Amino acid sequence: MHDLPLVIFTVLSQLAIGGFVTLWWFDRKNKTITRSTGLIISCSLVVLGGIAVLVSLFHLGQPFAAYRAILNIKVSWLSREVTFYGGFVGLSVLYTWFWLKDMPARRSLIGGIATIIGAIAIFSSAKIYMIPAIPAWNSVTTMFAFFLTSIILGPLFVGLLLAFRGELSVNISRISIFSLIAAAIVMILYFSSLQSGLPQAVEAARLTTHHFIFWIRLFTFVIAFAILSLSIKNKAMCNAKIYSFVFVLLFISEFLARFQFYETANHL
Amino acid sequence: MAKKLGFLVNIERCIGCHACEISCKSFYQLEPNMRRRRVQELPEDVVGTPVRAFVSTACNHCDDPACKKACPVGAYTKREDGIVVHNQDLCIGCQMCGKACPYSVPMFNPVKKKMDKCSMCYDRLDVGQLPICVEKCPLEAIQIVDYNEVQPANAVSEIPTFADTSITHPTTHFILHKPGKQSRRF
Repeated sequence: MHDLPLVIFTVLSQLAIGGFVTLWWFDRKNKTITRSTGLIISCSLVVLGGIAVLVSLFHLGQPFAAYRAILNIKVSWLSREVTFYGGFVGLSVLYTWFWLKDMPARRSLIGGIATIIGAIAIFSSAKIYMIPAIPAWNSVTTMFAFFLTSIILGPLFVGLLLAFRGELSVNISRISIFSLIAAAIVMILYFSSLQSGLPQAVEAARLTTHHFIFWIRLFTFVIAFAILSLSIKNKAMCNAKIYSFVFVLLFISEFLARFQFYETANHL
Repeated sequence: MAKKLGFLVNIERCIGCHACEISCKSFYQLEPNMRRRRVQELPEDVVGTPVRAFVSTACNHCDDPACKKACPVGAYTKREDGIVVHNQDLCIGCQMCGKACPYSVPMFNPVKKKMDKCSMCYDRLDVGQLPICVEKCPLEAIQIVDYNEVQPANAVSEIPTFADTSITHPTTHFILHKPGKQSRRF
C-alpha cells in the first residue's frame, strides 16, 4: 500500500493529460465549445493535475525537498517526468488563462505545446518503470498501458462534461471503444509476456490474476465496453448520465489495474 | 589507471557468523531492521555436491550502477576508485534507487526518511583503514580488491541467488567451495 500515492498520481496525471489533449483538439477542430464550458473543463483538468502533484509528494520521505527532483534530468527518467509534468501543469494553467481571456489563437498555440510536453511526461513516466530489476515492469506494455490510461479516461472525462453542458458534437463512444479494444489487446500481450518471462514475472501474473481485485477490474472494464458498444448506434444513450457511469467504471478499472501493477511487482 | 575497488567474498571461509553484518550495523548505528550487509545461506547444491554455504553481500559498487541512473536528485556518485557513494543530504527518499537496483541494496531508513546503503567505508579507506566488515570478519572471508590490478584465481562474479550481472556489472566477486567428492556407504 506504500505505493498508493504513485497509483493516484499516475492515474490522475494521465487522466489530466488525456483530457487536456482532447479539449485542445476539440476546440481546435470544431470551435463549438463555448468560453464558459471550455473554462470549466480546463479548470477541472488543472485541479486534477494539481491534486496529482500534491498526492505524489506523499510518496517522498522528504516532500519539502521535492523541488530537487529535477536536478538529475540528464540521466534520470524520474527527474524528466517531474520536469515535464511540472511544465505541463504550468502550461495548462496558462491555457486556462487564455480561455478566461477568450484568446483562441494563443490558446491553440499553448495547447499544442502542452500536448507535446504532456506526451513526453507520460513517456518519461513509463520509462521510470521499464527497469530490468523488476521483470513485470520491464516491457513495452508498460508504455502502452500508461498512454492508454490517458486515452481511455481523458476523452471520456471531457465528453461527459461537454454532454452535461449540452455541447457534445463528437461521438465519444467511438473513440472510447477503440481505446478499450487497444487496452484489451495490451492486456493480453501483458499477461502472455509475463507468463513467458522470468520467474518473477510469472509470479507477478499469478499474484495479479489470483486476487479478487483483478476480477473487479475486468468486470468494470467489460461492463463499460458493453455500454459503450450499445451507445455507438443508439444516440439516446450518448448522454451525460451514461458517460458519467461509464467514466466511473473505467476510472475504477484503471485505478485497480495500476494498483495491481505496483503491488505485484516482484524484484529480481 | 584508475582503481576499480570491489569486495571479494570467500564463501568457502564464511561460516555465517554475521559478524560483518552486525559490526557494520553497530558501527553506523543503523535503525532496527536495517542492514548494509546481509548474510544468507546458499542452496546446498551451490557447487554440485552438498555443502553448507553462506554468503555475505552488501552494495556491489557496480560498474554501471542502476541506482545512480534512477536517482532524480543526483545523490549517487561513483568515485574514481569505483566506490558508489550515496549522499544522504541530497536524498529526498523517493525510493527509486531501491526499485532500480537488481540486488535491492538501497534501503529506506524509516526514521531519517532517506535511503541508506553501504559506502565501502570510503572514509576509513581514505585514511588507510579497512572497511569495518573486512576488519571484523574472524575468518578474513571478505577482502577489498582492486580488480584493475588483480584478478583473483577461482573468483566468480555469479552465484545462485545473485541477480543477472549483465544488468549493472557488479564488482563483487566470490570464491566458492571446491567441489568435493561425495562418499557413500552401501
